[in-house]
Amino acid sequence: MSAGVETAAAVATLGAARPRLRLPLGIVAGGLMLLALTGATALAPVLLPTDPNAQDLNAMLQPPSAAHPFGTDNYGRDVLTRVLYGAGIDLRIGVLAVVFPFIFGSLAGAVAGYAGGWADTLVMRAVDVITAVPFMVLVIAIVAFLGPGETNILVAIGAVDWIIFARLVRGEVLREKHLEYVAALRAFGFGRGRIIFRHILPNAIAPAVTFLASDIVLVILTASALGFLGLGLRPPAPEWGLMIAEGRTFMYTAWWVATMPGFACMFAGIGFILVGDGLADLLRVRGQ
Amino acid sequence: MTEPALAVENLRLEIPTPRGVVHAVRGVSFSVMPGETFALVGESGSGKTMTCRAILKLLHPPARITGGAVRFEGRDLLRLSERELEGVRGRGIAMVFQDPMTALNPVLTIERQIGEALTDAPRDRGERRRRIVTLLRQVGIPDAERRLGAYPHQLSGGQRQRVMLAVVLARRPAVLLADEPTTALDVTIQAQILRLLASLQQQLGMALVLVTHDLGVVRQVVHRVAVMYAGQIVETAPTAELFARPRHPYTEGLIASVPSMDRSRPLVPIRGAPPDFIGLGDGCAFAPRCPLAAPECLRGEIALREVAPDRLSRCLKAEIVGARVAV
Repeated sequence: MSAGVETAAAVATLGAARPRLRLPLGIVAGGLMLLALTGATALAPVLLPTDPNAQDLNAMLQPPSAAHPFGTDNYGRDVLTRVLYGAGIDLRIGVLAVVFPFIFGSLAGAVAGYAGGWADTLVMRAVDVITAVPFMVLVIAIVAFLGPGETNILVAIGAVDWIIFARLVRGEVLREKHLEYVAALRAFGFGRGRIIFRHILPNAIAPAVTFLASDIVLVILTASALGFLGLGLRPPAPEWGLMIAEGRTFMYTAWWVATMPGFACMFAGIGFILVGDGLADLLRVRGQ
Repeated sequence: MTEPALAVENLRLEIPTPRGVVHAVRGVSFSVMPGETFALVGESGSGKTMTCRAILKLLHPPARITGGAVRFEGRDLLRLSERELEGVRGRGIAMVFQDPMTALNPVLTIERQIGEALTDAPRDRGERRRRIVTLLRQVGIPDAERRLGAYPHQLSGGQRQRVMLAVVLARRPAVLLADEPTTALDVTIQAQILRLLASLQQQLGMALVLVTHDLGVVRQVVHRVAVMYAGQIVETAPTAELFARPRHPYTEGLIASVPSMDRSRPLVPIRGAPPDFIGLGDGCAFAPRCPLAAPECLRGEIALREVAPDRLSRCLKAEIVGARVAV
């Protein structure tokens, strides 16, 4: 399960629901970028059968060439191979780390916004407390407490990230619940759960879905930053942040070691942001 | 004598505002018999919509009910919990709204919105779809099969109101509250929707409470009318008698201000503006605009009294109102 496949599926369903609607350019361009990246990652074991951690001490810090398009690092490892294997790790973290906050945050926000009263107070005070501490500081604190490792990164980001979705969805639900169709649903005797989840949520979820794409970028950068700080994955894992951290010592003599994973990170980021923007356009059109 | 399907007793409702408390509904009582069409008539802001919404406790804050009772099937709806009310709404009492543009969920198809409302939805998809198509045909939507997948924005205003009525039909309520169901529609469509409403009422044997400011509508389909002014009922009467001989100067003014097709009768507007609800004192709220007003009209609360069999009026001079009607 990769981000590209998910996006492609989402694009396909939205397209099917609206056959006459033209897909925004952003979705197409971003989708292609992500597809290319995930495709290359999936095919990496076939195209580049070398072990990403295989050292070749005869070929240390070699500049990009036909044999090593992205050059080699200080252990003679092929940077292109490591970048592509790293894409698997970073995209997985990016997608997994936002799925749970997205689901939990949206549900919490929807219930808080619709029910009001103590439920709203409970959720929103929790949100306030988490908001009071800067995002990165809190994530670092939680990872430092739990210890490094992929699962702990997911837990730490999830524990902090849900508040954004909760706030987004709550705001929309607050607006939505005073609209006439909600009164009409109540007048026909529909239960609260059905009104919130089947009727209001589909109308209120658009901003959260849009933010989801940019949030994946944020999370990949966070994971990379944690790797850079030594709180993420452990060497020699080919994680982008870790590779940048390792390569920065050679910035002046061998720029490619740190720069190539940086480009990869940027490429994925632009892809997700384009898809997110396109999705926002699509949902705006649909909402009218 | 049979039991009323719905009885509202001395309903009071207020809205706190920064300028002071607005007493939007001030002691409204009425009852509706099964199968009867009853209308609440009045100008904008007279409290008729508020009354209607209060019956199902569908008020938006800060509006709040401060007194009274709504009797339905032996229970006072105002004392029920939200969960208990969910059981009454829809199957017991349902409501259709003024603006069909906003009363349907914009992101769900017609099929889903009606399908959800079916009280005993068949499990089989095909069977279910046939039921929905039947409902759509009953409310006069042409080409019903092809409309199933449509979203509300793909339908016209009249068609959306028909879809709302299909939902009502799926719920089979005992009482239907219709809050200005034709106001947002084209004049040509209004008559069709009214006829449809009347036929649904007969089909289901519902009691129908029609909220409207349109006396033309009242004349066409309503059995009994209550005229509201400033949050109170000022007159109730069987429709024909109300038009033949109003017993309150406000009713008389309303009837005189309806445009008529023949030009024999001049259009007479009611002087002045609707009252400011803040600081409504004792006495008749209509007195400042009333051609018959006398000093005693401003003293003390004026009670709704029986001025003829089955006719109530909140006017001290009800007996002489009718005499002036042939202006």
